[in-house]
Amino acid sequence: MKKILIFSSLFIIFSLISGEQIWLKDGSSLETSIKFFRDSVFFLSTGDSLLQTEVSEILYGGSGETKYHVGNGQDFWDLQYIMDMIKPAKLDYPDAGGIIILDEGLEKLHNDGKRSYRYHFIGMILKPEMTYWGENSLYFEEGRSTVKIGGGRTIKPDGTIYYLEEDMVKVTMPVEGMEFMDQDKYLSFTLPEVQKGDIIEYYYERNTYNPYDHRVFEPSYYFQSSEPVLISRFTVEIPETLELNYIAKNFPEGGGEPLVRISEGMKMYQWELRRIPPLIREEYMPGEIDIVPGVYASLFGSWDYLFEWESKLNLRRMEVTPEIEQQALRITRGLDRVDDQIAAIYHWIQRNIRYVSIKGGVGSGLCGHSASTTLENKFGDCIDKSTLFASMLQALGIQAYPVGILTNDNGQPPWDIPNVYANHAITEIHLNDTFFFLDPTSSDHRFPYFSGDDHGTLVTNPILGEIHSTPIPEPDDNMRSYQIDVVLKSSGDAVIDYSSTYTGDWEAWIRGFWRDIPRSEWENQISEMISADHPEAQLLEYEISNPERLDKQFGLSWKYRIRNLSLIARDLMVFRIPDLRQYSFPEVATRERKYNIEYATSYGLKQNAKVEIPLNTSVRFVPPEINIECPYASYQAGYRVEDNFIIYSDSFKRYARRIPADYYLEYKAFLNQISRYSKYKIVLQKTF
Amino acid sequence: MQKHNIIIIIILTILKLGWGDVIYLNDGEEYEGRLVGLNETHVSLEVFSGDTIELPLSGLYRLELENLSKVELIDFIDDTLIHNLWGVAAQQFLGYDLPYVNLFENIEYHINPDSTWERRERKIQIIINDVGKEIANKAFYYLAQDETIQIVYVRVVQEDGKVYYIRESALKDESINYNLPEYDNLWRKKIAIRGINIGSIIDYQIIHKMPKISAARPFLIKEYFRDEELMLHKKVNLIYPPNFEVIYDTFNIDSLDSSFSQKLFQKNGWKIIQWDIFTQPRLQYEPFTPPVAYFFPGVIATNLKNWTDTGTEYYNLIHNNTLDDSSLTKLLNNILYDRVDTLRAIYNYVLNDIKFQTISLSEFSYQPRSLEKVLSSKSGGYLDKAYLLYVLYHSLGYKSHFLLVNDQEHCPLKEKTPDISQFDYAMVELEYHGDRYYLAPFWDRIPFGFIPGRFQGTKALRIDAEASRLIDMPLSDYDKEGEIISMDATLHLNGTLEIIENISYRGEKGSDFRDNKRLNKDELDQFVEQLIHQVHPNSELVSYFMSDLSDLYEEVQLNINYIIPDYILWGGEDLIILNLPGIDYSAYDVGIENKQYPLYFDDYGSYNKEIVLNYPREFKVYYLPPDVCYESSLVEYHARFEGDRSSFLSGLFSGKTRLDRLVFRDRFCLKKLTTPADEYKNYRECIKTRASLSGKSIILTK
Repeated sequence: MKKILIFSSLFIIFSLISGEQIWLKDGSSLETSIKFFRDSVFFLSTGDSLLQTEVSEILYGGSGETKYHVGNGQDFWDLQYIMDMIKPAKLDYPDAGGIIILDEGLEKLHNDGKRSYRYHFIGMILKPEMTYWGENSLYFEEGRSTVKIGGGRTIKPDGTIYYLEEDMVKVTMPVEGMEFMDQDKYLSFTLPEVQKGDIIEYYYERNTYNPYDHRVFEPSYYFQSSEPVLISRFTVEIPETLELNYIAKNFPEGGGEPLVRISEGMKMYQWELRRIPPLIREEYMPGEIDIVPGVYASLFGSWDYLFEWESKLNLRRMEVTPEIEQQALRITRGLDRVDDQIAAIYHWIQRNIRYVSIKGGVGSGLCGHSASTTLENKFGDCIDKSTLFASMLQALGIQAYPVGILTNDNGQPPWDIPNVYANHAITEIHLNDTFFFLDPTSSDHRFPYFSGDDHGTLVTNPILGEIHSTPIPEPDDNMRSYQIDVVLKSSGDAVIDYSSTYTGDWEAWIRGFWRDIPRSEWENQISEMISADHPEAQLLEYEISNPERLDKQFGLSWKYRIRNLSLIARDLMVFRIPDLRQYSFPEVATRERKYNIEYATSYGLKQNAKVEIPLNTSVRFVPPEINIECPYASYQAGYRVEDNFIIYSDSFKRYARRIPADYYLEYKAFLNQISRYSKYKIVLQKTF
Repeated sequence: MQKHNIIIIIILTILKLGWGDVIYLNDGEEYEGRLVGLNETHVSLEVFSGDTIELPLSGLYRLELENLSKVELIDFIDDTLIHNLWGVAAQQFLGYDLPYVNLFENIEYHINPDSTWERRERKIQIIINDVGKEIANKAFYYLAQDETIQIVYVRVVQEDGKVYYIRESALKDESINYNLPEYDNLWRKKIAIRGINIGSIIDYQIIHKMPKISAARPFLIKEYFRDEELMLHKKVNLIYPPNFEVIYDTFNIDSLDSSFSQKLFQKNGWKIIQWDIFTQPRLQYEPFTPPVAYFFPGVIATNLKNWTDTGTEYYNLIHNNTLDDSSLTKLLNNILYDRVDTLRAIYNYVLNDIKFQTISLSEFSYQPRSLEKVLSSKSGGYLDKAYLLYVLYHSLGYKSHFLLVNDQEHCPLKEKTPDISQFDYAMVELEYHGDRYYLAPFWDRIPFGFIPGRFQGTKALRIDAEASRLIDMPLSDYDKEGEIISMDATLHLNGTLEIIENISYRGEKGSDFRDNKRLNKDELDQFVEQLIHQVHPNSELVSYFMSDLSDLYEEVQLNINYIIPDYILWGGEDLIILNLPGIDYSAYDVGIENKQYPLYFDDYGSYNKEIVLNYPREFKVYYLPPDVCYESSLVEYHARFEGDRSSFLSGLFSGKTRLDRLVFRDRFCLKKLTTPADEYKNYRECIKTRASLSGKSIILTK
């Protein structure tokens, strides 16, 4: 352990060298120039040679062997100033896990088109759980950017300071999901001696010395965290001759306009918020873009430039090769209707191109790989699959395009500020003077349905240069429909015939659930499901329709016997209709709510039941009918008696994705009525 | 093979060799193809269409070379095995109700004369349906500091005989603990195989190279002969030099099983032990299935030694890792300053002041990090924290032992093959005034002397300079685990139910509940509101009190006061049907009639509930569900309803509505962690008995 106040005064850099850096398969590297390449051999300027099979990659003009250094922390804040800030804050936030004293970002566009991002953090740790603030990983891209740690330190309550040293810093390749392969590297570091009660401080700078486009400069920043923030500041610096387009969202009223000043040929825009309360998560809350104070900026006033850049890449990747055309024709053989052709290819891509994401750089990162490559690999990610889908449709003469989308769980970005917001890609299809969307990244969506997190948001179509919105389907297009027929005996036992069908996201979800289970285990799975509420249930027969046939609607049906469905209490029989869903809405569990409720998409549930009651009984009580609605949803349910049958039907439909926070109490009351109604029981009287 | 196809094959092979080189341009564009030319100013690439493009080097920032990928035909592969399997598998398995089948696996452990060793694996699988395609993504784990994984080849054979090899771009090495530089050692090599269809056969070979066998880098092989899916044939070979001695054991193999064979022989101066097993069924899903270690057949082997020597060797490896006297004295003075209870003060220091990183022994090292580094970083994994605690106790003269422990996931320990790599965790055993304590200073919610549930009932190796031995870790009494819930519910005339509920969380449940201390007040409010929402969706919170979760020695209690408006459900003008709140037991987990695998439970303990329902005198009890009871050596459940008019007098004098009351009491007790499959019927009957209460209502009349 190093003594107090002694720190190493080095910098972490990637030294820029001329010539190439040649990385070999064994992990070592050379810095040299290649004179020429012939017959699978590289001939070097040194006179040596390398077999092609020995080389894994060659970097040009911008990378060198990593040296681990940490800066001398010349920009650390004055300790007394920090202590003076923290004292009152601790009183204001007594149960916070930590308090962020400074959260400062600076994005700078240099005159030569290079850009840098500097970040400075100071935080006080009040609960042990927040010691992870001392562990950080900083992204960089070999050949395009470098990272430099200016300094890091831990300040103890007694004033003792421990500084970050080089043995706590390392370059690593981060672990990701099994399907993801990219070239990201991280510079990770751990501050020393971090404990509850300490203040930590660090700052670093990322220099993008080789941006893919000098004009593309899209700074953005969030100003809130799950812990309170005392100062959050964001500065953008650009050459004086340029103009920054920006929007500040979710700022306190009257806020959002930056302080602008010009100095030494640079124009600076600065936003600052102080004493920002912590973000407290709620169930079904909107994406962060919609609620967290943020700034989004760009040098572009329109989308033209970005669209042009991206469309060039998209079009090249969509090239229809003979293999693509042959495959499209093979899939659609015998299908005359265009809808059927689209459906067939949609289903084929979902099932035959598995999800693997390989990103080598910004080209594959944003626009994926060529359709022919994806077809050959039989794998690809969202943009790969969407591109292949569009390409195959084009081969049949159907106009289609891969489009970028920000899934709706992230919120709505400010589309007036051109930026690469998309985190996903789907396909836009033009037909009969209209257009619609499909998402081939799924594996279980039946045409024309597509994934719920694509609903009710915007997409960018670079090839057409347009922005469109995706629809929220009607509840009937995301519907579960149940039919339950019950024969109740005077013993209280019953035989139940259950069947269900689905549309939309529901259908995809439930189809995927059953496809994951081998057929030999279906019986056990159903037995478990029917036993959940009825421990004496015995399965008699079952059928699961079309789990593999995406072109056909998925359905479930089973027949089972229950002992003691009905409670027999002297001369009464009391029971609930089995398999009827009992409604429960965790999004309205709390007394109050700050944020809108946000669902992925619409919702529909219809239940119909017919109960044959024993001949020696009469209906003493069925719940009264209910018919309620609010601006966002409706619910009807009721029972009627016909001879010795009780007929039940209900319908719950939610049309909206978003329920405003100021409507919360009414919405809560609305849903609570439904929850309560679904708990009712039927009472029969024995007539002996 | 027809002659006229040979030319096509040759052309195909040539065209596809080396395909997949990628040029990355500064402007973001990428081109994929085959590198055909490069000089000091330009690069030439043949693209898929057959054209050749030439680009200036000034526009390049990276060139990736593809050396693995190629496409060929199976006839060019000189391997009888793959030819046979390709011919047979296509017809035999398609149409099976399986995602994939393991056709063949051959594992070779090769110990070299210099005591380095290797694990060579070849595996051949066939994909039967779409779900099975997920096996085309694979990962191989290794410790990067001194191990390597070499991909010999990974290929897929399609039904038409085309063979695709993986691409370099679909191969990635990544660090599991990348965010913790001080623990960065466990890596994985991840691959995504291309060209996968239903009916494709995946065939791969890898070599995992290990450093020299030593106390810090032990040698242990542990192979299972089963897989999640059908396994047709697996071979395991242990090949070692004549001067090397091994000890081995097979487990969960019936001696009468004719599908299994074991052979010992010598070849070319090497000793070889070969195990062969055929046709092992797939793992059927069942609830409560234990970790595979409990019932999968397998073999384990290590170099010859006993547990005492193993412990001594380990003791010698670690015992020099300590602090100098002055540092130790200074540290202890700081910890013990003004403290009366020395044992707990030291424990609390290691627990709270050294941040816990969930790094197990196999993820990083079997040697604890230097204590200097642990103290300077103020962080440690399982091994580091336990070792620091041991050193501190030991330095003060307390009788303590360092333990290597196993968790239930990796049980049972194979005692015939002593090796430290059968353990993945560490703890400290402390003897004091005749009492023995087992200390796990990991998460800051574990009280002194409490053994986290996952380590209870397992085996540990007590490390000693001369007398190391295996010991049994105690299993907590089931009555000290679980929950006690008492609920006082008052039903008002307007149908509102007012509830005061008290929950005591014991043992592991209490330790887990303490995790909520990280929540701030708003988050805690939400947590409690969601909790009562599960009791009834219309619940409204009035107030709550939670014991101090930071105090590890205070019983964990949650007291909630809430109301449920319109709780009662009318069954007509004069009938009230109500279910007691919180009585919502499911029999989902016992829906199947029979089980073939042993049972393994994670909710061991006793769960006691008492609900007092006070209802207005205007109502009379029309129907009460009958008492239920089930008892066995594994599990028991009792439930009883009682009427009580004792509150009559209190209501009389207070002037309030006079109430009668019902009392419901139940107790569920799960007494074992694991049990053989034939006890399932008892468990099932008990759960069904309990679940039968959920459908039973209380009926009151006006």
